[in-house]
Amino acid sequence: MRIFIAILLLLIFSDAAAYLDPGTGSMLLQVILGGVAAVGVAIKLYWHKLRVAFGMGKKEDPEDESV
Amino acid sequence: MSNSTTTVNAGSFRDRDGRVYHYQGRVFRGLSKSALETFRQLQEKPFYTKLIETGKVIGTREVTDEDNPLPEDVKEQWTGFLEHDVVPVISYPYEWTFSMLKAAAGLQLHLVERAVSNGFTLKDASPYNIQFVNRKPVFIDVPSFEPLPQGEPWAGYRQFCEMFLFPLFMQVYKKSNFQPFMRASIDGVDVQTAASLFGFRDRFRKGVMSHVWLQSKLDRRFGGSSENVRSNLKSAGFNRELILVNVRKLQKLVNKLEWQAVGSEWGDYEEFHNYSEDDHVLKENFIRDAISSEKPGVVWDIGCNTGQFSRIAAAGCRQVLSTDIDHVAVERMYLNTETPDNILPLVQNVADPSPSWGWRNRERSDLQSRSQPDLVLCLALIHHVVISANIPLEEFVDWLAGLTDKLVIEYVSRKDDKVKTLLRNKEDKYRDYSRESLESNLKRHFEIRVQQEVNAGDRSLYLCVKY
Repeated sequence: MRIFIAILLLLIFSDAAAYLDPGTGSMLLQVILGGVAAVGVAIKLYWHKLRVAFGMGKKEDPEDESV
Repeated sequence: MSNSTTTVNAGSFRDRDGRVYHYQGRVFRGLSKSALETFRQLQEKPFYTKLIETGKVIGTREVTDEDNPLPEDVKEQWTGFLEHDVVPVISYPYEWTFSMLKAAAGLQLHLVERAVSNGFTLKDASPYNIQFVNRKPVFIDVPSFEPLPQGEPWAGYRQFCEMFLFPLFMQVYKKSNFQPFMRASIDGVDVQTAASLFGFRDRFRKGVMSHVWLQSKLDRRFGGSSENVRSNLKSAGFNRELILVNVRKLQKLVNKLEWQAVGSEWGDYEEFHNYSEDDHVLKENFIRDAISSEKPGVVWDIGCNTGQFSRIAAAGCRQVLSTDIDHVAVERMYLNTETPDNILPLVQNVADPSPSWGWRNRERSDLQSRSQPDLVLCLALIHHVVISANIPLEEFVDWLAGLTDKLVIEYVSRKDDKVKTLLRNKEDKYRDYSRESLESNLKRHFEIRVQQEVNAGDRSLYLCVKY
């Protein structure tokens, strides 16, 4: 299960630039560690990415930052 | 910054919403408006009340302006103040044993589990927020609790790995003491360092594949991503159940981590010490008499081994701080159910003690700034300091005189087997290592009140009091 989600996540994002933001990878790992409950989240993340790739979704929602 | 009776805690600057102040032996914490509101919210929660009642979180109360003794210039800076119960001796993770760090990790996870189950979270996961009171871990950083926003991951997960989990892994999987790593970096063992320390074979050990290897891979791959992962996670439906699954798995993982504290030179001291039964009783009585005649409040036992003399001291004083260079010995002391609650055992090398370090070299302080002894026990240690660590006897006695007014010190003569062992492969340049030299150096600072020969004169005990 973890492997499946990990592969899905690896497909989503582009490769890293030189600057490392230490939090990002660890946040994504928490989806993998969420087990069965996280499958839906991983698929949605993937779906969102696909939509962005085809110009169907909004790329970023700044509103979401202010939680 | 403050007047003469109020000091700002130099290690409490990271959280912009609060600051810790020390005033006449009491501990206060100034809070911003938002932090105060959060605290008031938290105080109403039954889960928090239970954590306080069970001693897992330090006793804390809000102080009214009338009851607040801090100077006006400090009061003006904050909306409100809390007062915390006082921790007898502040200690740091690089002074703890494996089981102490494991107990602290267990507490941190328990707090996260309780908080997240009740709509709260902890904004960080640092072992410096945990202290040992009566040999149990207690969480001291109450403002770390905050409401958990919908869809947020556990902010402290990475820090938990770097400051609790990876050091524990190192001790269990690599049989390497974790303390030097924790003292080398104030943020612990970072993910990439951990990944380089744990090789291919280690990936198949419990927890390494996901928390070390996969985390380091994801870190490298997504670290530079311009994606707003936080908001992506939120809109994809990340929820607190995912945090709880991870935390509960981590609880099981940490619980199963075992380190066999065996096989050190000193850990077996009590079984193999160099004394006959009669001499042993003489030594115990000497210490008991010294404690009852001098009535110290705080005793340091330097080179405590597994703590048999600390236990005698603990019966006659308020607090014993027992230190030894040997992780195995101190671990056994911590785990020994006969160790009284007023003993804090710590791993500490007298020749390479905890420094003052971190931001401005003040964030974490040396041991002497955290505890001041009224009496020091220095038993069967001097040969290690002078011969093994090459510290001149004169300097060692000077240091002791700067540390304490009352001293119980044991001299181990050159006829003793331990000293012979230490010298067997060394050129004997230790002309200063003699009974006469010790006595004349002691007399520069102390009056030798009582002296006792043991082991047919191979060893001597001295009770010294400053002039």
